[in-house]
Amino acid sequence: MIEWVYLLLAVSFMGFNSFIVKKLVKTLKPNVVMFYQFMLAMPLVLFYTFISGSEFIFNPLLLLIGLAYFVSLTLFYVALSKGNLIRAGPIWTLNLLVTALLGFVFLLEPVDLKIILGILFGVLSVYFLRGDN
Amino acid sequence: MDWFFYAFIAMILQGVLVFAIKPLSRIFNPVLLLFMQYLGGLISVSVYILARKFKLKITKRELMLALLSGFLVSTGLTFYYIAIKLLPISIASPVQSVGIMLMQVLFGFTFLKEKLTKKAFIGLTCSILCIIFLTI
Repeated sequence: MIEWVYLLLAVSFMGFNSFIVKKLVKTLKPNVVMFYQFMLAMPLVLFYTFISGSEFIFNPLLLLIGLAYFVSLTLFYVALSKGNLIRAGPIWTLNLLVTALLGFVFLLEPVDLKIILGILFGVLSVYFLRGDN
Repeated sequence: MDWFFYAFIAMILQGVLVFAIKPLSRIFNPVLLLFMQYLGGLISVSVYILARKFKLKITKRELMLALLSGFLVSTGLTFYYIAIKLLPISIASPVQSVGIMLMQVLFGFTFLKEKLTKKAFIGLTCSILCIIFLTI
């Protein structure tokens, strides 16, 4: 049950954040917004790391996650500047499909009709909502 | 068509990144993974800003909003990464993506008085069905 509470909190925080980002990128370059976000996020998440009781292990290879995150967001912003949100937005949001497929193939996560239907409706909602907004 | 190429590569990269958190969270604390993501991200974005000579000057209001955004996204991702550790990735990822879209539409409709078109209504119905099928 607690995992669903975490997921609900994640959706609430990130959904509200998308409104603020939408406002900010009207006047600022997305990478500048990203810079200020990361400036606050880094010490804050370090604080969360300590209160979660985690041992601090510095593995430089893990920095590659950050590089991938930055490259992915920057490529998306480039796509937005060359195309538009109506066209590039849905493609970006379909990363849910990539993640789910990788989960089925490499982690052998269970797949049944309910999950297939859920993902199918997810893809349809991306088409209808992102294509409209 | 090069916008499609960039969006496609970004989509694949983001999908792989979220997927990678699941096996990595079996070895490392997911919150520590997020910290390393932000550290790597801050280094990368700083180098990029310097190379492109972007100006970092922003107004006080923009700074406050950017910091609020930093708080919301990092706290949201902290909860998301913990949820990824506990749930199958093939369920957590679609529910999170669709949930955010659903929130955006509901926020826009409720607070910004945006018009709910027929297409958006179908999208909302599909989002709710997606969440129902993935959570029951």
